[in-house]
Amino acid sequence: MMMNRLLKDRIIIVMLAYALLILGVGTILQIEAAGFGVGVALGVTISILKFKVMEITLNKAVLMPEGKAKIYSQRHYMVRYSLTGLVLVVCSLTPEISLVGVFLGLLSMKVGAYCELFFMGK
Amino acid sequence: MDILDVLFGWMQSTDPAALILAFSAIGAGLAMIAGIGPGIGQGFAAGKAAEAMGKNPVHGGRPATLVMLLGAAVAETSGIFALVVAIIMLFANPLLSMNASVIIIVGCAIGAGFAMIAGIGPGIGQGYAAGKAAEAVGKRPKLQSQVVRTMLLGQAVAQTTGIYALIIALLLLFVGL
Amino acid sequence: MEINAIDGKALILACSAIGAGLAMISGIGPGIGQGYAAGKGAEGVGRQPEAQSDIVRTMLLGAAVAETTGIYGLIVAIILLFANPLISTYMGLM
Repeated sequence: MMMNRLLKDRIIIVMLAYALLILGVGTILQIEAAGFGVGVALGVTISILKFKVMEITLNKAVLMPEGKAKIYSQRHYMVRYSLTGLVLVVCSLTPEISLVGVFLGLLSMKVGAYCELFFMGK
Repeated sequence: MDILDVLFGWMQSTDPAALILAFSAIGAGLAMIAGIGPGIGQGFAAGKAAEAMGKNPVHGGRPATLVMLLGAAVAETSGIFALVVAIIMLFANPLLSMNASVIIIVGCAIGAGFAMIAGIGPGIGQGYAAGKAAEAVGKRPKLQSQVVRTMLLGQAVAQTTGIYALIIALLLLFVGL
Repeated sequence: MEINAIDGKALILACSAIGAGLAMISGIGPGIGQGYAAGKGAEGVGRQPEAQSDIVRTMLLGAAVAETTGIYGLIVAIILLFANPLISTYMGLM
């Protein structure tokens, strides 16, 4: 259980490191400084939130019978998908937040998962 | 002749640039349908890896998870191809500067979108290969390198249809008919 | 049947709406995949309840990868609806 918690922290640390990297690249390329930073921060925050919610959902789903687990996790996927859509709509309507930044921030979950490939291989 | 007039007559009274841009929007939407494939495939791989972890948690689970992540990364490509084509149509539309009659350019925009739907196939297939490889590695962790090599070979072959689709879409967008 | 000259901007907006709807279809893929993964995970936990944390961790990694794939379609739909670059291209041509 302890090892498990450590691992999840590692993914979140990777996500935060990725956000800093993106911000650094954005600063070097001078992409509309303020809006880009806010966008990346928002995207990474939503990603971490979704990751934690997904963990809770799956922990509940695996204790259910198979058919019920399927429907339960699909329903919760739709809730998370709608949340992502809502965030993107709000960001696209707010000129102070860059949509590209939010998109790159939302991708951090994938980067965190793929980085496990290097950590676990050792 | 009447029905053709009803179907295509309105195009004559519309600005050609507006027609091309409008049908590029539909094409971009069609191209993104390919995203179904990687989603299903990666989910299948995750399920198979979880099953392998449940059967052999001590020795087989970790390599199975690794193989699943590797396979999912490959299955991702067709989704990214579709995204690239959609972004080209939205932000750097090459059709506007094409010399042909409007109906042909409009057809090229929609055709490029339809071509990218082919990405569903490689996405599901590569995900299936990743899932089965994770299952095999979970059973026999010692054969990991051979299983991974076979999986990558199969996924490379499965990718060819996706690459055909990408080539056709890019030809339609940049060369035309 | 007489349709007078259709406004170019309106046509682009209408077709963008169709395109956004088509792009959103891609969202069902990860849903199906995650449902399958959850079903297999439930099966595994039913067989070996003590391995629950390991099984959930594996599923979580796979589901996180699949979940982000659905966002591609979503972002194209949002761009078409709310930040349409085609309209600005068209306005630039006028």
